[in-house]
Amino acid sequence: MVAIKKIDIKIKDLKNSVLFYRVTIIIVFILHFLYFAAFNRYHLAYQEQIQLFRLSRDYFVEFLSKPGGIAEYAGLFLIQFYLNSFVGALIITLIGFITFLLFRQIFKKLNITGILWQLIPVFMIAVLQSDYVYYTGYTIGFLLAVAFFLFYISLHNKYIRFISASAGVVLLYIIAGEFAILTAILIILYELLHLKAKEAIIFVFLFIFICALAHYLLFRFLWLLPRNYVWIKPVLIFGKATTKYGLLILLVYLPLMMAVSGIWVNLLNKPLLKINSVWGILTINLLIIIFFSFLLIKYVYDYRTELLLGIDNKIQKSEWDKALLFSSRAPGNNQIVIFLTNIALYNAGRLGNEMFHYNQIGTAGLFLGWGNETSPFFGNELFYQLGYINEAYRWAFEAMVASGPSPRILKKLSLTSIINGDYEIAEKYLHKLEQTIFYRKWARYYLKCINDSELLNADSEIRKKRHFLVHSDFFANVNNYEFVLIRLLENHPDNRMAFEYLMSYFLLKKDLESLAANIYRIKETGIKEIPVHYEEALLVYMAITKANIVPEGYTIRETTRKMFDDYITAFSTYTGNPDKLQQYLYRRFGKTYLFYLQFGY
Amino acid sequence: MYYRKINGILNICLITLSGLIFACSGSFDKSPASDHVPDISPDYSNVTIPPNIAPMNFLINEKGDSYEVVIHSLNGREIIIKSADNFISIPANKWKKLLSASAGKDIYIDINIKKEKKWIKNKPIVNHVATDSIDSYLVYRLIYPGFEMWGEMGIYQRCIENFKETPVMVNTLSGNNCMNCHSFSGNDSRCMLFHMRGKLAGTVFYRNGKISKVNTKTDQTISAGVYPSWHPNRRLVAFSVNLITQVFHAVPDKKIEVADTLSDLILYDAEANIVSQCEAIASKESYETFPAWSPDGHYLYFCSAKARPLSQYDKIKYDLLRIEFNPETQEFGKTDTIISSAKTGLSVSFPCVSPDGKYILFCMSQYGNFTIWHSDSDIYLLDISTNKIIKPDINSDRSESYHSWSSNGRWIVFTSRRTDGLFTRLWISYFDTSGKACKPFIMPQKNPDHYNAFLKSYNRPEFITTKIQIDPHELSKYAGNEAVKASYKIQIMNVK
Repeated sequence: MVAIKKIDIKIKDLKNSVLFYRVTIIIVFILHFLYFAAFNRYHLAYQEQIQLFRLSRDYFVEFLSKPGGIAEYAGLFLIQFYLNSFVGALIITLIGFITFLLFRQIFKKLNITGILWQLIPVFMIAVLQSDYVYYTGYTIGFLLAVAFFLFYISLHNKYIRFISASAGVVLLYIIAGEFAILTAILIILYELLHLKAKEAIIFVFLFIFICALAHYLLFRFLWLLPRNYVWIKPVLIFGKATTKYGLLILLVYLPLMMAVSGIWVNLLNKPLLKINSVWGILTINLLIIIFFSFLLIKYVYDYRTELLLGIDNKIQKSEWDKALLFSSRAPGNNQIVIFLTNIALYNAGRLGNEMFHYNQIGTAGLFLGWGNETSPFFGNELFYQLGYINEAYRWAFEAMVASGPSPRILKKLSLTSIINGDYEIAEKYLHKLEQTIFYRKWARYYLKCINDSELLNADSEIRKKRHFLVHSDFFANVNNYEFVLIRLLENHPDNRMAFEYLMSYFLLKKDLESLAANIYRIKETGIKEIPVHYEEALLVYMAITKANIVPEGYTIRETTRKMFDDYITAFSTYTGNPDKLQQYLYRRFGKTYLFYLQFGY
Repeated sequence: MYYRKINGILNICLITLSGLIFACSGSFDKSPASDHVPDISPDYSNVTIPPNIAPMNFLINEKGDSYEVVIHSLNGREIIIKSADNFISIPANKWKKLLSASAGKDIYIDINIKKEKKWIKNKPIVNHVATDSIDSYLVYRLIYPGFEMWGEMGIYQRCIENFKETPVMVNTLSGNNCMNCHSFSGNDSRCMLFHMRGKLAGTVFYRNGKISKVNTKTDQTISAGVYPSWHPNRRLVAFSVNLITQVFHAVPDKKIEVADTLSDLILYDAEANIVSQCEAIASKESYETFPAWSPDGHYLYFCSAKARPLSQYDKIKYDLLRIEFNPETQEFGKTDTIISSAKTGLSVSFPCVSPDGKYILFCMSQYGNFTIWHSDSDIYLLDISTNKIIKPDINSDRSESYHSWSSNGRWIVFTSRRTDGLFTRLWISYFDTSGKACKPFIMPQKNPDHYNAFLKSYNRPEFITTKIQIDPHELSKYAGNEAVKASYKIQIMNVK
């Protein structure tokens, strides 16, 4: 009876442990999905925006010109679905699950037990995928390398194993790139530590020789790439520490486990981390989930970048208020955040009234300099909206040259070319978009427009932008945007955005003289009331010069006058510590131009 | 690159498949020929072609259920291509045989189109096969027609007898730097140079079987060498040295202005590693650029304009000048004005003397020298013996720019933006013994739709007679080396 009871308890424990194991897995992957769907949705959406997947033979063939091109191609195929962030999160979770299954199988064969070991690579991939510059293609390359190793250790005949290893690693190098080196290391370790066959040494030497020869031949005759660079490329390309070291850990993890288990399991004949208690398993599982979740949120999740990309995403969808909601949460003085915020403010009709409700960093927040490769990608949007089409085209083209064609850039190149009347050039970009799944419809519409002038003239976007086309030439000047904006206004005095940006430029530059000299242009823009921040600036200017420069037909609101008086009074009657004056005024007037004028950039 | 091989294999599979589909459609009768000449792209009609050119594959721009193309000459040879789609791919071996048998004669392209179960026979396209062959290789740079940035770029050699394109040097091997101005002495692939820019700056020379990298910038000269021209003695190279500025227009019909704010010429002695200059080619009052030696090496042609500030960019007009040169003493002599911009009202650029020394091919546009961005830029021809300028019938209403001669002087290759206004393509024209340039044709590609999809420009085409034998990996080793600095010497003028 006692024996039967013991067996019953054991069966019950076993059932419970399987149940806990399954529940843990389900919880992990639900959390995994939520992490990407809720916290990284704009990271994913942005990845879709900066790459282009085309269904074309020429496009596919391009990927054969470098090691790992096929894995990259597969990754880009998946990334196109990140257009919908939930689908993106689902794909990444599925990839995570495949990773888990692969490692479970490998560890089973290596006699390494414990859910922790199986989840570590899933967690590391989640770390990597949290960085928007890390592409799914790398994960695919890694998984192919691991999957091949799993296949390899399933082979029992040593000759078949040798042939498969030699041919497979070479093929893997072509498909998955540098990750094949990982497989080669795993195979060597497996032969030496786990199988310990007599011929292992010969096998390893021959295998290394074949790999080296294949590497030489491939780079000599197939690929034109610097050889040394390719060995360590994936680790080198990431600047962010969590990604760089995350990838490094991911790459060394399995070889390390192989080496440790090879020594541990074979010498001591005990599995790694064997826990017999069911409740112990449950506790460990919970701790693993909490620990990984904490690490992800605390050290990996990039909240600031997510906000930036959220603003960008909403601007692309013309959801200005939503973009501003993200802006209001964005801490610090990131130039791109402020640049995008100002675009959203203008489009929401709030630039002149609310720009100092948000952080400002001087005129640098209105225009992006060439800075780095991302500047033209984000920067072209402003010129496009200003109706400065040649400059929008130039910046978009430079973005394509720097980072390759992407859907957003090709759309911008198509539109600017159509607006400029360069239809044959536009067709080239549209044909590329026509080969995509999600932009085909858009491209076909504009291809139709090109051949149907009536349809084209009826397109409000094209019509609106053509209205502001420059007819009196000038040269672009990235060092003097005042010059550029005035030229745009000379071409089209009704260019309201150019006017508002010019006024904002003077406000941010604290150039009240120029603001006063140009306020007359307001009449031609159709703006009925002077925006609050201009009023504040005009009141300061008029207080200094004693001149009335309010354009005829316009008045300054009483509320603004009162606020101005309050500010002067508060400033002049403040008796506290001068160091605390700024804090005091910020509390009362932090959203006014007066505060910016006195304390801002 | 090499992936084009794979592309080719896929193409063959598709063609075979379409042929099989077509073969299943059964036999047919043809109605009498109409007067209609089908529209094909690229436009390979009424052109004179070399007897050693690659198959000129084309698309038939007319709707049909299936197509039959018969290419034949009067001597009876013919190629029959049946296709279920409008993509006409000519078998290379048959094409080669047909052309060699048709040298000096016309070839005919009959295009029959099946519409609604009825075959329509059209008027044939007629092309002429020249007896003069074309140099086997064309070297060009492939680059995005961008503004300030660049991405992947490379210098490639294309065997124009087939479709094989191989890299000479690509910037993926050299830190993604910019590279430009590849140049050869007398169409000889064994004597070449090209510039590397950025971190690995320097001019890579390949001559006498050796590779070297030189820094031609000296303390006394404006910049390192830019536009080159090899002296026929293969020892000397005339370079322009330029300070180049780019500005960007705001009006829709103009994009960019590239102008010199300083420029001179220098003479580089590759044997002695010495840069030299004299007043006549390096005046402070003028911008000198685009050197071009006469084939005998006794004259250096170049463009020269009065120096003006950038704000007067549209008033900078270049004359074509010629200065005497003594190859023995390496001394310059008297300068002559060959074409005066004051007389023509136009600005000269890219002079290039024919191998027989009888003609100069050059560009003229309203102003400036960076003609690829000037839609009014056209190619002109100067008969040196009569000083007569003619505008050959090879131009379009869009930009025609850089050009060069084949080694036998019978073929011209030039860049043109005529297809879309932005992406530069290579056009080839037959230049007959009477000095007439025939209707040009675009460099054939295996995929006749290639140019519609390709977003890079073909830049600075140069004919060479044989393939460049240096491996890009080998070149990249030297390209990565520190450049050897050239020394400077002032030239003494020897004006007669």
